[in-house]
Amino acid sequence: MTKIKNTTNIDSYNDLYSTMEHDHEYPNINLVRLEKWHLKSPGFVLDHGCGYGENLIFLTKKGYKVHGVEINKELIKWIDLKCRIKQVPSNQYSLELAASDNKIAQDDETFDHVISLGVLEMLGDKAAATLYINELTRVLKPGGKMIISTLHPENSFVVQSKKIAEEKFSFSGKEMDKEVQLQYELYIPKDANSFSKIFPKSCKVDEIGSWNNVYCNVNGKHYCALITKK
Amino acid sequence: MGKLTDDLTVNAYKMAYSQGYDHSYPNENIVRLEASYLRDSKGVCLDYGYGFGENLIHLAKNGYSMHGIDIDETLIDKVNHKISSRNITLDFTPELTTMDGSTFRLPYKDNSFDCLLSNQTVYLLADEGKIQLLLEEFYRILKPGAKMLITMMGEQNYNCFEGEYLGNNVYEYDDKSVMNKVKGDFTHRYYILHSEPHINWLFKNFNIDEVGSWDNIYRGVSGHHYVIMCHKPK
Repeated sequence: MTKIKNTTNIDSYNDLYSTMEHDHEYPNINLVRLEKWHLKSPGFVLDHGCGYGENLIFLTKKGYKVHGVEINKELIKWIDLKCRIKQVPSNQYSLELAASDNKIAQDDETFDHVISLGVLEMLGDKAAATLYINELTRVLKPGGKMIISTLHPENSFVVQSKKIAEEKFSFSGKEMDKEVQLQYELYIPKDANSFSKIFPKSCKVDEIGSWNNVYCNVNGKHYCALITKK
Repeated sequence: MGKLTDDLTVNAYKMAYSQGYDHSYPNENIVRLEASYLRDSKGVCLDYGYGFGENLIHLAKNGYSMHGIDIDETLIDKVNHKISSRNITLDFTPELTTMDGSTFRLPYKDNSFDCLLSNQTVYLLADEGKIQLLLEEFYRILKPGAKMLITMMGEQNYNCFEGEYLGNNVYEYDDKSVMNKVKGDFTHRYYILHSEPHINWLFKNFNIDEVGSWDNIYRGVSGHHYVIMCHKPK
């Protein structure tokens, strides 16, 4: 059965999160722009795969109420600590450890907006990615906005991976400045058109955009899908 | 001899700053490039065109002795206020200077800096001769071996598609895109780098370590910039 949690990838992330040495200090600059240019109106946001929590904290400062989901218990504690240090009001955020293997815990149409940055590739294959997108769409209200970013085929992470099937790659090694040995299975859409097709009919794909940074031996290219639920 | 400012653009930016034009975070590319490129020449650093001060504060927090220069006096209070209101303690209090509108020399002594950052600023001096003069000034004030990190718009930036081409790689544009919320006439000029050979020619007095780039393409905007990593010969 297709699952939205990929055990191999989660083991690698648990290793990565065994210390918080790779913590981020600032939100993703593209999210900072897309909050103004795509989300536009504060409401209840699901940040699925909220990482080190900086995007979540940024959105609370902009007046959103944010529910963050992550796969590692220590990371959840860490984000909670950061939120308290940065004086995010406790009624403006909540955190949840991703539990279910194939469902997002919330009811249908719970959120005004959904963001998922750098998670989709980690679903490991197209079937799981599709299931995941369906779940994110399910919990989004009609008219709600969604931002999904995922690795572009030109990203150095993909270039260093081995293609094992159509739109499926395997990565084994170390990532950039990190010392942890990682093992990932990756879903990588072959182009923007293929990426746009994993969204269900209830989604209007406003745009498949991208961002990129190419320097110091890294190519950080990502696709970003900007979606409005019909 | 040309002065190191462009009156039209200086006035456009002064107006933007007076309307509260600001950023809350450093540019994430500068955050990465500080860690990957500048860090081993950490020391006395000039942020040429420090603007909102976020990059300058980020470097100051990471142990650089920051000097900043820009064109609007009000920026000094703004940056100092950011530092004090965030309770940031620094070993070296940033020294911020406002450029005289008629100067053709930077107010720093020869061989003063261990490194220099200029993010999204040099192209606003929309004149090739003036940019060459500015790069000569950068050369003069850097110590031998000092690193320089310069970012400038490239030919795939939306400003090139939307702006009016004035010739000699200079464009003029009253930006009304999503990127810009400035009310009123924000007509300004900029100089575009169109290729790596162009960059190699312009920065010929420096040793170029790498020419990188970044881009963001969504919502009708493309933010293509070149990243020039170079150093003054030893």
